[in-house]
Amino acid sequence: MTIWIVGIGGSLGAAARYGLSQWLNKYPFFPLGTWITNIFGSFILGLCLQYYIAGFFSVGWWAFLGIGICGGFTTFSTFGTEVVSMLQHKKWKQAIFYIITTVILSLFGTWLGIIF
Amino acid sequence: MKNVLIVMLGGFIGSILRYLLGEWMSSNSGFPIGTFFINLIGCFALGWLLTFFARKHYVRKEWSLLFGTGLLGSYTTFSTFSVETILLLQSAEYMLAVIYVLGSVVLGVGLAYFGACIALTSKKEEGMS
Repeated sequence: MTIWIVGIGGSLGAAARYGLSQWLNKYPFFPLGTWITNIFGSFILGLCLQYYIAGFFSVGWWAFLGIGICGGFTTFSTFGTEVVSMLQHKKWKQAIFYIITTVILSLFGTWLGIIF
Repeated sequence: MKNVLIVMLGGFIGSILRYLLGEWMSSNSGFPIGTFFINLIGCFALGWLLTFFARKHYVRKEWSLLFGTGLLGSYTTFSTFSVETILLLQSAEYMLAVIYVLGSVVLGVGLAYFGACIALTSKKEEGMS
């Protein structure tokens, strides 16, 4: 049963990610859509985790919102290939800036979500 | 609208794969080995896929949306990576947190590049034959 809940959450997360990147990934060598997706998704997952641990969510809701929606919304593979694309075009500064800001702000977002 | 539905189908499959693989690989070692390998495999696969598709002119955009944006996009995850790193930091496993972050980013980018290289080489061989 849980796998279907995860799958439905994941399909909704993927749709939201696709919509955001269609809207925001239009700047050359800065994928703003993926950037915001990963940072915002990390914040929301931190928030979900806090509520799950506190007992506000059942396991089913955690599977749907956390593993499904947040997991499917955020992406590591697109992040990786976007960095490779920057490196292939010798956009070193953009690549470093993209990696560092994504990682630091996502971690900060998660921390904020957990303590919020 | 059709594109969104294709992405959703890929996202459905990708999330289930991530969940099953994560359950299967979960360990009590303290290191989030499941997400680590899930993200690395996904980076390699997407690096290969995007270059493979870009080299072939007759590939429909729908395949890229299904397997790339949908399936591999949802299969890998950044939010779980962030949460696991924060949990490592909270339990004072600083060394593991640093290894996890650096390992995921460096190996993920490296494997995405390696995947792209393989897709380029196979194309060259095809062209020569």
